[in-house]
Amino acid sequence: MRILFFLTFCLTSFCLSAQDNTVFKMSRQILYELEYQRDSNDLSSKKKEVMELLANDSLSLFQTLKKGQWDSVILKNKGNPSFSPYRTDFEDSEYPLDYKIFKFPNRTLVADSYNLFALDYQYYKTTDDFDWEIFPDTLLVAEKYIVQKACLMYGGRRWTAWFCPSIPLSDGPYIFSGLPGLIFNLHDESNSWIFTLLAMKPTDREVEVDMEKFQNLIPKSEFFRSRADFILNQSLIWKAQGMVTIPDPEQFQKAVAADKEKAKRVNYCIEIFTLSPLC
Amino acid sequence: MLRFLITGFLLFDTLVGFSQAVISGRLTDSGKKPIPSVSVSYKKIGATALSGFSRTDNDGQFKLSVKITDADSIQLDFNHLAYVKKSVVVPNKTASYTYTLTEGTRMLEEVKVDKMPVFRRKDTLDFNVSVFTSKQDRVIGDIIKKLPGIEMRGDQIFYQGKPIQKYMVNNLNLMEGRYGIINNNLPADAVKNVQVVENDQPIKILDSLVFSDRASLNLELKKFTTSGSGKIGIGMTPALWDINLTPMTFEKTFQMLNSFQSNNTGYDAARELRHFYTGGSFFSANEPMKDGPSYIYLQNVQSPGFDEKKWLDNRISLFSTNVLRKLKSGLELKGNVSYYDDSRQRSGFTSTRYFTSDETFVNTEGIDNRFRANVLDAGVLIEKNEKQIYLRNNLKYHKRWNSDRGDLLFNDDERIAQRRSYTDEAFMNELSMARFIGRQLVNIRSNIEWHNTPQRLGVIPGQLTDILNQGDPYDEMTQTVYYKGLRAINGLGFSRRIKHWIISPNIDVNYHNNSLETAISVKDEGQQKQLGEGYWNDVKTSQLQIALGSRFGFEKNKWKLSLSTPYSFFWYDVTQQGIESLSNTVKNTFNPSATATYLIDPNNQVSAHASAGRQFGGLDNFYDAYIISTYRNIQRYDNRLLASNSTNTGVRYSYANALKANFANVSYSYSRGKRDYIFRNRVDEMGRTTVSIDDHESSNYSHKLTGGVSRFFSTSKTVVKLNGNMAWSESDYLLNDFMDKQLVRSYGGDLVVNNNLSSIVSGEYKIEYENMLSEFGNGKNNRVVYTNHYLNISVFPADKHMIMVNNSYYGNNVSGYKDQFFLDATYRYRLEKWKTDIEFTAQNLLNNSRYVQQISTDYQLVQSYFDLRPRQFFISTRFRF
Repeated sequence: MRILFFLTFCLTSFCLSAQDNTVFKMSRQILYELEYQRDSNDLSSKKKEVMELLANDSLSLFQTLKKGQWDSVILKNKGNPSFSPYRTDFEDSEYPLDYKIFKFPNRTLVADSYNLFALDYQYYKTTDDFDWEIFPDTLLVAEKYIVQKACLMYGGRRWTAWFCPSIPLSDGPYIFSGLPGLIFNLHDESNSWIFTLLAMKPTDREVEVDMEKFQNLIPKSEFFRSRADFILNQSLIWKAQGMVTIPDPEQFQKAVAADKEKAKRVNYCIEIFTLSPLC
Repeated sequence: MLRFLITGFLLFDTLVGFSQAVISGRLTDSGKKPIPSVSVSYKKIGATALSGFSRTDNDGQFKLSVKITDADSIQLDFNHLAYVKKSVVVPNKTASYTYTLTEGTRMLEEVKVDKMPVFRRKDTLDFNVSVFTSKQDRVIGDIIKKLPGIEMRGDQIFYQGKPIQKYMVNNLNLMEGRYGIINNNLPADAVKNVQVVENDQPIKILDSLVFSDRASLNLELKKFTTSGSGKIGIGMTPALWDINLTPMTFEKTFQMLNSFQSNNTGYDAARELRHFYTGGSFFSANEPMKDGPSYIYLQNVQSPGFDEKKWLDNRISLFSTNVLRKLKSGLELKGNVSYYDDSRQRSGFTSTRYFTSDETFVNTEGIDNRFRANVLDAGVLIEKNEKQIYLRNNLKYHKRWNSDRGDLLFNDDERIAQRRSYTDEAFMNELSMARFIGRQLVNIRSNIEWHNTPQRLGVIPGQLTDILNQGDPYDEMTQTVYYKGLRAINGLGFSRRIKHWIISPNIDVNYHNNSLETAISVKDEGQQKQLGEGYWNDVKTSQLQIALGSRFGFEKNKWKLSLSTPYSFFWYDVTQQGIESLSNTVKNTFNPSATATYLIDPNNQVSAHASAGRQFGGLDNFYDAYIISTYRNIQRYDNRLLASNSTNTGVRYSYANALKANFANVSYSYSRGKRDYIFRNRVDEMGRTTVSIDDHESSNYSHKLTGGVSRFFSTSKTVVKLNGNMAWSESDYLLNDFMDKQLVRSYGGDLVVNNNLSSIVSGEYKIEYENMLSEFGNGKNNRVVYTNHYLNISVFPADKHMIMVNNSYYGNNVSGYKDQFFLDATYRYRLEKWKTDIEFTAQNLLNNSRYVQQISTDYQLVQSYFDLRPRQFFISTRFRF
């Protein structure tokens, strides 16, 4: 509980510090429902989250809807001295869906974080060239949209996508894109990750991107490795950083053991990355 | 030289077969500037699905390796949000093109999507259970009956008008056709998808060899689990109970289902163990074990053709245990034991009107019957169903004990007591094996079935006095029957594919041996007397059949053809009362049949079938001394084989569009039969019937037209199903020395609308209509019309509360009787934490006591009323494991 109070205190002081940001005006908001399995060992531990794909003709951004709403609030209150923001999107999310995925015409960049106290994102580049195999299977969705099946082996999982050729947006959830139509449904073979299109509607939302951050990319493998290290040793790292204080050694040992247990239990790996000890 | 030519031809064929066109090109705008990031896709002209795609690079260049090899031209589509969509048709040849796209920003309309209700993967249709689930649904059967394309007749599941051939859970077939017990007890929320596999060939070794036009059903569970449901309830009046504990376990390699059920609420729990698989497999008939023949019956009253819970007066206790284990070697072991004790009471009144050529007479019977059956079934099945080997051995044991009694009031005057006992004990072993020897599939099959079926009917006072006691009244008549039967079927078959043909010759050696011993005795003034010649039978029949035949299958492009040419020789031996009445009598039959199926496109298919031939039968009727079948029916037959010729043809069309969740089917069939005999019926003014066989040719024909459509409207969450039927037939009958024809014309149908849109109210409405006109030879005719309406409404006034009202209205055209309306109501409270329902049910709120109906047969019209269950109240708890 003490940790929670401390976290809340820290988070209330979180605010934007980036300079020279570029603002993109988005024209479409595409909402997906993400159903994912939180506990690797328990098929029934499924949780749902609404994700948004904001897009214009030159950029799309994929993130949780909560995060998008939070960023909009920040942007609208920029320069308002009485606005004291604190993040709410972490509150019930044991699983870190904290990423922002930016798809530019020639590259896909991910801003991701895992340490609440680091308060900043790490940036890495990921693939944007997918070798989709399309199949003749089709089905009708909402009595109107004919979607077609495509499959892909990526990140240690076999993914199945249903895309809609009549909506010429070569985009989709997470990092996926490259099909000749918007992805309506995407799931892996074990159904641990299922993205389902809920709606697409026009928007005039603005998105602020700190382009300078994209100059300092780290390798994707490094991010996955350091995230694994952090998750396995969270309490130790926070203690070393002086971010938390647990005077009772017995309680501290319990916290360390709990980190290992959580690492085993929580399903972190949408991409099964061989370098990460978690996957 | 020849080898060289063949090799050269094959090489050429391969090269031609795999040559791919490479189509490249460049896209520019009106100013000749290249357009990057345009989606370029290709497909067959008019096709829905794309066959491949690419994207233009920064220079507007694209390149497609076209995989379509069976079309001369293909369609290219260019898609970009800032340009007008362009489609062109180009030759399917390597070439390069340049196209100009017109600027024009495309506005994307808003999209709103629900969960996908149905989708297709090759031959598999996946129905998303959550889309079709309403709040009141508890077990998977509640969902399956709503699915478009699926129809339930009682507990049997039909897909597109045909019974399913397999019912599996996680691709394992635990119950072997007795799937009702899973369907009625597996919680709906344990199931993720209901899958219908069309054209499913369940025997893997035949996968690429023998096509199938049958569908299988598989339940894909959300996880491996122990589940099931239970119910415990009590009610009144009279004192009622209902207990159902049915836990089931579905693991990856182990499945188990146990069930204990006991009730007196009108639910026939034994129907959950009924075997529904029909048609058998390619190798064997896989028939369920049937009871041995019954020669004697209690006179009964026809049961109403609606929900048996309204009329069945029962007391049943049932136990069943079923286990499946799949071993690492691929071998599946299955075992089952089930037993039930079922007592029933059935009472009512029947008025039977007989139409003879010159007169009509009427009899009445007040009936009060009590039936008791004890049934034990056990079985062990071993199956290995793999690509290289098929093995299946099914050993079954069955025993049934029936002890029935009936009290009857004849013409409001004479009281008649009937006692019937019937026992059947049977063993069956069914073995099928198949494996490839070289490219030849070899299969052997062996089926042995044995029955011992003693039975007895006693009637007080003695009836049929003219025949049995020189017209004098007497105290009691008794019919005893001892039947024993042995059937052995052994076959060897081969199958081989030659290009598009599959040829399967086979030889079968089948042997049947039955013995029938019967006796009639009369008792008067304490003296029991067994009647002599003409009243006892000692019949031994044997039949040896050697069947030679071949099946031919052809499959190419959109055609599937099959032809079967079975030719059989029969040797018959019969002795009656020690005298040989048939000795090595030889008959032969040829019964060819053919079907042709044409797949118009993935959604539409038409098929036709035809069969013709001659059959010999009548060994079961080979007794020339009397047997009493009911207190007023007695029969004997001439010593002869019965020959019949039949011709059957039909066409069928089916449509299944998973994209739109639309299903339709229509079929027409015609059959014609000609027999070298006719049953001679003689009815006296008291309704007492004697039946014999006459050497007189008779014929019959019938036309049948059936069809159905169903659709799921996803925006309104409504399933609509419409089925219709029409039939007309004519058959000869011989009654009281006059031969006549009966003409029957009938048409009818049903419509079901099921809506789940609102979270507060959901409902189902069904209407059934049947109109049947029977015309008899003397100009008399009879029209029977039924119109039944059912309206079930569920209301959810608050979270956890549900009120369900079931209305049923039965209308008929029987003069003097009112149409009937039934009202049932249920209140349910959900204890979410315990996943338990508390239910309070009121059944037959209007307290209807009798149901009236009429049926017509060859020469009689039966009007009957039936005592129904009275108004009853019931409180129960339903829970899941």
